[in-house]
Amino acid sequence: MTAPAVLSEAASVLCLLSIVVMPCAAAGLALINTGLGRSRNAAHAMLSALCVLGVAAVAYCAIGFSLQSYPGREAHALLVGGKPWDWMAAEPLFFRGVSFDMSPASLAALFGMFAAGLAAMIPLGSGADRWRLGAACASAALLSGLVYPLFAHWVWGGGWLAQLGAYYGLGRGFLDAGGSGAIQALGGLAALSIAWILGPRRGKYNNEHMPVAIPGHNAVLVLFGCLLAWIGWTGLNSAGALLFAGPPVRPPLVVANTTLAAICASLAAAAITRIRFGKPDASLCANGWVAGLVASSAACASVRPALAMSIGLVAGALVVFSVEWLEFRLTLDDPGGAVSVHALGGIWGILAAGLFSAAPGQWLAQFTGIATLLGFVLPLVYALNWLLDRVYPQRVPPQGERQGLDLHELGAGAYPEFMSHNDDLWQR
Amino acid sequence: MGRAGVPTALVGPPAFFGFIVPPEKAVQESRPTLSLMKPIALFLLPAGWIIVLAAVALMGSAAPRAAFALAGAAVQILGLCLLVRAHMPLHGDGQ
Repeated sequence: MTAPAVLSEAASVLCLLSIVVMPCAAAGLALINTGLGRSRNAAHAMLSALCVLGVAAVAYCAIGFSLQSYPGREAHALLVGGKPWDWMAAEPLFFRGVSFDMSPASLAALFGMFAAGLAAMIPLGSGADRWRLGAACASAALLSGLVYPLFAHWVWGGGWLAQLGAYYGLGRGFLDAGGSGAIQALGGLAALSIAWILGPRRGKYNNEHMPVAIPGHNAVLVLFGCLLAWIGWTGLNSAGALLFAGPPVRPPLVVANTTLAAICASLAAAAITRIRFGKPDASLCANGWVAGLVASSAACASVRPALAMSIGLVAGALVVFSVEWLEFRLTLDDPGGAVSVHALGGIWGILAAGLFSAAPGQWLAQFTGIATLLGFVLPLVYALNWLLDRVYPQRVPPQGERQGLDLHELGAGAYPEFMSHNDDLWQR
Repeated sequence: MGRAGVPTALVGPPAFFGFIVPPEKAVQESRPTLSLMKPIALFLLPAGWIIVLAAVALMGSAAPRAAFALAGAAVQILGLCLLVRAHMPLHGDGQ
């Protein structure tokens, strides 16, 4: 979208209410990451989620919105082939240019603050059980203060990706109403970088590089997290559609598409795991549910419910095979499934928005967005985290990993009355 | 030997992308190759992106634009494959 949204008073109130619901998505992700990790790291996982959300919100407020902004406001542009490529906003720092008067720009600033937090939380899933709290916060500051706002400006701030339709006839420009790319795929690629930089958990792979199962410690947390995430995602997609999708926006359609995609993705994951393993797998069904939510975001305002269901079905199937492939073939230890769910699910959502659009050239606009994620976001996030790791080692020492991050970094466990694993007794 | 009597070199990650070499030789000889892989991969990813951008900005008609964009994507996929390979453990690397 290259022009600012025009919202009626009722639409503005609805948008604000939708934004207020968005933290439920963060709460859901925090519960999922905690449940899929080991019991000895549970308190650390929840505290990391809180701290990362806080750091991300502060970084976004301080710097992020000044790089992202909103269509129709000050920005820097490069002339390419006689056409201005808007690449970075020129807003004052600390939200000083935002009036917070229910205008679309002020709602976008609020939306961005929560969205940056959500994107920064995604890597916690892949770095679970071995990522230091301080390093996670520093990485979140880089992601939400620099990488997310830059890409979000290109997509939602009237940047060059949004202008592809107006200047080069590529459909309506890059379509990403709810953030399949700007939030989810970006966070998922950051998760991939973190998983690579940290390396696998101790004992995850044997000497022949075959993975050892380390099941999550609480399926109830994981599945309850899915329900919370669903509530949050309806708010995320509704607010995103109102602010960034352009008219006509139909919030009931957005909610229906979001819900149906999640349901179909989860059912697809349940069916595939039932066929392959004899019983449905709870953690893969939960991953499928979230992958459906993730994939639904890009096209939530522009497709009919039947297409949203097919987007969800593919996302659910994709996540089951991807989790296994990453773990077995690529030896990538991703305890929360963040790479499969958010990176692959997000990229599929972006692609589906192009494939299911009738606008000529829309697929190429979506394709350019994916190429930007892989060619700009991934190397940038990888390089920033690699440099951070050189300055401040991101992984806990081996004895801390064995002891558990709760005791090692916080000094107290999440479940002091219970011993869930035999090796929890080591080195206490 | 790996699972079900299959030689480890054929089931483990080094078989990926055709890197089937004796384990000891792989450890000794692949180190410099692997250390080069990461910077090359991190160069190929933005290079492919720039090809896609050039296709969008410079090509007028749909067919060459799509062809160049797909070529850019192919370069990116190559970069991604190299980056993945550079992060996989070699045979003989124990934990």
